[in-house]
Parts: sequence; C-alpha cells; structure tokens
Amino acid sequence: MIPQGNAIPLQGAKTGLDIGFYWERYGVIAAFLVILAISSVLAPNFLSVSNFLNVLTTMSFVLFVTYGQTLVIISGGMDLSHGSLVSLSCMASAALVAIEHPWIGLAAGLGVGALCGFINGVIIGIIRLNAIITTLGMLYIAGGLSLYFTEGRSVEGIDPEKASNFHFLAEGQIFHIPFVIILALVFLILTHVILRHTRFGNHIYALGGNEEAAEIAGINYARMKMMIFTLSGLSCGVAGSLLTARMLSGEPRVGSGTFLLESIGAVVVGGNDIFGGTGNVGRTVLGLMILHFLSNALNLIGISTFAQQVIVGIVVILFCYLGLARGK
Amino acid sequence: MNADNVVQEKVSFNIKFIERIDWEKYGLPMAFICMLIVFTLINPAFFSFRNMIQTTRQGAILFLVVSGQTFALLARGIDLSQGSVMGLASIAIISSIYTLGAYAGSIVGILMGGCCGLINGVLIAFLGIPPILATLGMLFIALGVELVYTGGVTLTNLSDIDQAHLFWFGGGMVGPIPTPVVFALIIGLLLYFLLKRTAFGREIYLFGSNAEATYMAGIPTKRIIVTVYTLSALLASLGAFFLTARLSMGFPHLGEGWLVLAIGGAVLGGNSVLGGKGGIWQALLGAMVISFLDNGLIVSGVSSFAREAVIGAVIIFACLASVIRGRS
Amino acid sequence: MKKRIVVMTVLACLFATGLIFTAGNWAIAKDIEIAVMVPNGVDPYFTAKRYGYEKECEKLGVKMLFFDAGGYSNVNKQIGQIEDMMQRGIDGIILGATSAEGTVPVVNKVIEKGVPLVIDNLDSRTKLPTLRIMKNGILVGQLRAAYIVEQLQGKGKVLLLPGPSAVALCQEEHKGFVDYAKHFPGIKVITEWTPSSPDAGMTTVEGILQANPDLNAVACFSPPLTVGAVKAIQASGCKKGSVIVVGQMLDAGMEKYMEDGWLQATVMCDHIEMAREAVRMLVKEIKGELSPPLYCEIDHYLVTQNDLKNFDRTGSSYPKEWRK
Repeated sequence: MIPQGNAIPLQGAKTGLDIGFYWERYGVIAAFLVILAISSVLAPNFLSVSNFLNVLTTMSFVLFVTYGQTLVIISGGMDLSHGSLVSLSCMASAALVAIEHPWIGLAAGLGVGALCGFINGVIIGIIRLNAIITTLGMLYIAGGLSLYFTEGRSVEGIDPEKASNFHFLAEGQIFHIPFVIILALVFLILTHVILRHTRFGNHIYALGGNEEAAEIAGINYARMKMMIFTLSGLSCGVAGSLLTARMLSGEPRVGSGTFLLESIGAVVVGGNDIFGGTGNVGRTVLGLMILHFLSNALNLIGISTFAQQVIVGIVVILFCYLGLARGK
Repeated sequence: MNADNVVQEKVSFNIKFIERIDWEKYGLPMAFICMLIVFTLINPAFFSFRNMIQTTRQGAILFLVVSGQTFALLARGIDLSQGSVMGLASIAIISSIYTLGAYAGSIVGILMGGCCGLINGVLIAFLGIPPILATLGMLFIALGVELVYTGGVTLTNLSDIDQAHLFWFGGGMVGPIPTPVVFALIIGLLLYFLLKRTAFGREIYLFGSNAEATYMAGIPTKRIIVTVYTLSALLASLGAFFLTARLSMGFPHLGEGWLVLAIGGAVLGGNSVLGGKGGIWQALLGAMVISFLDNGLIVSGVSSFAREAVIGAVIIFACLASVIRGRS
Repeated sequence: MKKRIVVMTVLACLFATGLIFTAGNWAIAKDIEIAVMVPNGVDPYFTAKRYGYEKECEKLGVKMLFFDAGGYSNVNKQIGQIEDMMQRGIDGIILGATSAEGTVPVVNKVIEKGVPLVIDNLDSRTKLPTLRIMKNGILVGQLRAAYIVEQLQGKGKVLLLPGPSAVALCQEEHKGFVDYAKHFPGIKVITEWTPSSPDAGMTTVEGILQANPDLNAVACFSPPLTVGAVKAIQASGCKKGSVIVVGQMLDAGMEKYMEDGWLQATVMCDHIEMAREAVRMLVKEIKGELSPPLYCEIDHYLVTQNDLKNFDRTGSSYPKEWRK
C-alpha cells in the first residue's frame, strides 16, 4: 500500500478552507458530536448531567489503562498484557487492603503493575524480543497468577469502615463530581505534559517515527522501552487499584473482558496512528468517549448487547474508512 | 602433521560442531522432544498411544487456525477476528445442516466463515484500513451477528443421520489416525507447496518483507492481501468445523480463547510478527508444542491456574531462546 | 493556535444548539419499567431464564429492559449498567451479579436509594436488607455427590468440573460436593476448574482419563461441560455407563445422552419458574406489597433416566419456537 502523506496543501495552489487538513485534525470531534446529537434524539434521558457523569465514571476506570497504551503505541509498540495486569493489580491491592492499611494496598497494586510492566520493558528493550510476543506471554502469565493465589476465588474481607477513604477514591465526590473523573483528568494532563513537553516525550515520538534513526540519534532504546512499559504497567496498576476501591474486593478476572480491546480501540478510534510516531492522548480520550457514549446510548435505547457488538465493530471500521483513524 | 596438531584439530572440530548446529532451526523441535520426555517421566500415561492420538486430534485443529494466522502474519498483518469467525462458522455449519444436510451444510458453513475473511481482505486492500483495525472490527461484527442470529442459544438437535455423517469428520478415525489429523496433514502439505513452491507464495513473503517494493515491482498486492485474509478465516472455519463435528453442536462462543492461542502458537513456532519470515512448518511446530504442553500439564495434574501461567512463560522463553541463539 | 480555538468554539456552539433543540425529547414512561441484569447471556441457563422474565413481564403488563454484562467477570460493565438504569429512573432491578463481592458497593447504593431490588440466583453479598431468590449451591453439590457415592457404593475416583473459578456459585457447588465426599474415605475427588465451554470440558476429561484410567465418575457444573465430558468419555472408548456422569439442567442435547445411557443423572431446578417468581416479587415490592428482607430458596431435584418421561417440565423448559 502506498503510504498516504498528510494533506499539506501545495504552495499557493489553494485558497480557502482545506477540508482534508481540518478533517484529519478535527474529524473525530465532529463525529463524536454527531453521535451525541443522534443519541440525544433517540435515547431517553441521554442528554442529562447525571447520565454523562455516570458514563464518565465507568469510563474513567478504563481511561487510565488507555493512557499507558497511548504511550506504548506512539512509541511504535503495543501492550497486549493490559487486561491481565489490571486483574493482577486488583488482586494484589485487595489482598493487602484486606490485611493491612488500605494505602499499602494501593501501593501494592501500583507496584505490581509497574513491576510487570518493567519486566515487559526489560525483555523488549534489552533482549529485544518483539513487543507483541512479550506482552502476549505476560498476558498469560499474569492471568494465571491472578487466579493462582486464591484458587480462582475473589479476595474478600475488606472492612468498608476501615477502607472508607480508599473507597472514596472510586466512589466519592467533590462538588458533585465523582472523584475518579477528577483523577482521570489529572492523569490526562500528566500524560499530555509528558508526551508534549518533556524530552522523554519527544523521544517517544522519535522512536515511533523511525526506530533506527532514533537510535542513531542517540536515544537509548533499552532505557526508553523499559520506562515506557513500566509506565504502561503502572497505568494498569492504577486502574486495578481503583477497581478494588470501587468493588471493595479483589476479582481475579476483572480485567479480562474488555479492558484490552478498549484500550487499543480507544487509541485507534481517536485517530492515533497504530504504527506510532504521531498522535496525542487527547485523541485517545475522545476515542474512548465515543466507544462508551455509543454503548450508553444503545443501552438507553434498549438495543441488545449482541447487536451492540455489531454496531461497535462497524463504527471502528467506519472511522478508519473515513480517514479518521489513521495508519498506513 | 604431528600428534599435537591432530588433537588440536579434533578439539576445535568438536567446538565448531556445536556452533554449527542451526539452533534457530532445530532448537524448538529439540525442546519439544525434551518436553515430551519430561512429561512421560512425570506420568507414563502421557506417552500412551491413545493419549498421543487424542492430543494430535486437538493439535490438528489448532494447527489449522495457527496456519491461518501464519498467513496473516507473513503478510505483515494480523487476524484478530479468528476467534469470532470460529464461533460464527460453528453456528453457520449447524444451521445450514438443518436445511441442507450434513455435507452441503458443512461446506456452506465453512464458506460463510471464509466470507468474513474475504470482507477483511477487501477492507484492508481496497479501503486502506490497517489489518489490526479491520480484523478488530470484524471480531466485533462476526461475534455480534452470530449472537443476534442465535440469541446466544447453543444449536443442537441434529437428526441422527446428520449427526452420524458429521461426527466422522471430527471424532472419527482413518485407520489408526484421527480424521482431523489426516485432513490437516493434507491441507498442510497443500499450503506448504503454495507458500514455498509457487510464485504466489514467494509474492506473499516478498510483500511481508517489503510491501512498497512489492508494489513498485508491479506485483498485484491487493490480490495477495485478499487471499491471505480469506485463507486465514477459511482455515479458522475449518478448525471450527472439526470441533463442531466432534461436539455435534453449534456453540456461539466456540472460538473464545483460541485467538490468543493462535497468535501465541504462530509466534512460538517461529513466524515473525513483522512479516516475511516463517511458514507452515513453523505453524505446525507451534501448534504441536502448545497442544502437547496443555495436555501434558493436565495429565501431570497441574492445576488449571498454573497452566495458564506456564503456557505464557513457555511462549516467552521459546521466543527468547530463538532470539538469543539466533544472535550468538 | 488561534485557528484551533475558533474551530472549537464553532463546534461547541453547534453542539449547544443541538442540545437545545433536542432537550425535550424524553419519553415519560407510564408503565412500570424494570431492568433485568444477567452476567452471561450466552449461558443456556440465562437464555432460558430470559424466557421466564419476558413471559412474566408480558403477563403483568410490565416493561422489561434486558442487560447482559457479557461475561462472568465484567463487573465494571455491570456496575455501569446498574448506574445507567438508576439514572434512567427505573422502577426496579433484578440482578444476577457478576461478582458476589464486587457488586456490593453499587448494590448498597441501589438499596439506600430505595430502588426495589431482587437478587436472582447469583448473589451479591450485601448486608443491607433485600429480596433474594436463590439456588442453594451447596445443596446442588451435595445432591451430585450423594448420587455418585450411592452409585459407587462409597468407593471410587471422581472428577469434579465445577466451572469457572471466579463464579461464587461454582465455589459453593464445589464446597458442597467436596464436603459431602469427605465423609466417605473411599471416594477420591479430583477437581479441575475450567471455563464453562464444551471443548474445555472435552480436553480436560480426555486428559484426566489418560492419567486416571480408573476414573469412575464425572460431576459437571453446566450443560456445556456435561456435553464435553460425555464426548470425551465416548471418544476414549469407555463402555456406556462405565463412567457415571452427573450434570446440571437438561439443555444442549443432554436429554438424548440421558436417554441413551451416557448421562446418568442431572440436578434440575425450575429456573424459568424462578425467573417468573423474581419478576413477581419485584413487582410486588414496587407496589409496596412486599418489603425486604426476604430470602426464597428454590427446590432442587435429581432427574435420572427413569424420571425423564414423568417429571414436570413446566418450570424449566420453554417452547422450541421461542428463540431470542
């Protein structure tokens, strides 16, 4: 396939609005608004503050994972272990919250995620094993481990009284806005700053754009990969710990459903290049919002979950076709 | 030549012999044999004739699916829809058998599964959608379509005649060899010749290594893409056919878990995720390793939780080993 | 940068106008509206129950919204679905929980908000008072164990397939079985946790049969596992009836296996009647005629080949034409 370059207008050849340019940059937002508009007509109660807050709350838990995936994809790789890392972090944090102080549990969840991510990074960065193989293997290993220690049972015994501050992270509200949304926003700003305003972020883009050139330019491949995948694992750790806070228990398969598909889906539906080198985290957020609001609207309309699958699949493909999700 | 020289030459010859063993080519088969030996030592029942035969029956099905994934990987792509296509094929086969009888129904069902691949190929080749996104969309669409069609209900109620005819394909024997194994071997040989002995096969490898160059050389790349993904879905449907035949029922979620095994098996066997490297022999190797590993773990009494982690570890180590050996 | 701000503002204005124009389009529901949440809609058990829910809602003139979490551990999704429904102002919820522990906080929210709730079959371990209609998982396990122990006269090897380990009901059935079997030192139990699918059942039973050719019985959690087990036993060349198979329910072709003698017994419960009762309980609670706490347990009974012709199927089967 011949690669399609950016729609840069020829010098002096065009005056007026360059549709291609605006389409690529803002098309996703427009599509999102169209979906919102159609949904508000068809779905009762869609357009209300409490509905939006509900959707954003459930979405926020997944959002953390997508931040990590964004970093990995922009750097040219992909992290398939996300689902299992979320489950493992959830179990680890629950286990420690149940027996120790809740904040140690939180640290445990974050630590486990970061550690697995670090292992991914070492294998990918130093041994130079392909990212897909490594994270696939980690998917299995972490998945098995999540089940192994409790023989598949959930972790119970968390005292709601003792853990009420911890629970607040997931279910509390500040000025009627769920705290987890605020957390997600904070991490969004953090991720954006890392990507766009630090040298590290620059190097991520460079790696994704042209790996060889980046290395020749002096970027330390191993160190970059280790840091990127550790951050990716850490983002899963955040999600897992927050899920523990939401459920006040540890669920061994909590991440195995849609977390992985959504994390990749959000990155690409939002318009980031699947091969890396360009994009930003704002697009990812947009992509996830599209997936979640669409699902919410379909729920409110009353369309069966089976039919929803078909619609989601068509939306993903449609967005690609319309040139909204790019990639050679 | 005096005595010292002779000794020296002998010693250096021995060292060179070890270095000369093509680890990349023989490493995995040797590890496979070691694995078989270890499992037999743990439980002699593992190496019984019946167990070997039964495991190859399952392995044949995995081999077909992994071969399909191999084609997609060789063309520098990936097929994420294989799991859903398996479920869709299972349902399509049983539904068609209701009206068309065992033989015609099976063919129609398999072809319907292949159509999904055809659509994938068209989306990728003609609409320019990246393989990962097109097949991701198809994953959702195929799953949704067959769930909507069946409402999630398992399809049974085959007439006795149909069931008897059908069962032979999945559960029957040709002499001492299970039917699926015979078919898999024949199909495998055909695919091998396609890849290694025809011009078209060479074009696939070329395309995987360097898509632009292949296009520039005037080779019709669209044809390659469409064929590759159609084959991938067809092979997955064939695998589903043998499973369905053996179970005598259409199970909507038949393919669940098979996608990750297919990718894992393909890369473990030695196919490169970046395309251009690998083949049917690698697919066979990967499928056999995974099938016998799983069976061996069950027979050895390893708990199902640990099994998952072990499979993941094996995938990583197998790939690690080939990477390290290949380098030194 | 300036261009970007301009474009954003324009888009925001378009959005706002859209908002204003469409704000009034809400349907005001006059009928009673309830939401039914199941964890895994493709499980034949829940497909059958859906028939029960639908028919009873039709009968009572109540509107039903059906939600499938898409898998036993999709807790996050189910929590989202429950909150979506609370937001919609639903009159009542019937819940089959994806996770016994994980849904407790959201269920507490539902109860505290005063929304009528009936927990159906898959428990949520909330301590607040609520209506429950439940299976007795421990009893199911015991029934299976009792049948097998009797058939084997207290001595033999049994493979137990309790299903997915993350489902609390499976854990209960496992416990019931294993605790009963402990009283009989001659009975050895091997447990294999697997997903509830026929090929998982098949490969596991095949492998275990290889390692244990002296296996006497297999106890299965669900129809897919039971069918897989029967297939594996057939493939291994074992004589009909030499390995006793006990399952649950009679879906997915199990009845034929029972008639032919490959399946010896199955634990039944009137799950469709259970679904209907759940709807009745919920409507009563909505109308104020019933208040929590209430704990209803349904009957379980063992069905063997002899009973096949006679036992009352009205509570557990749906007509073939209904296919949703």
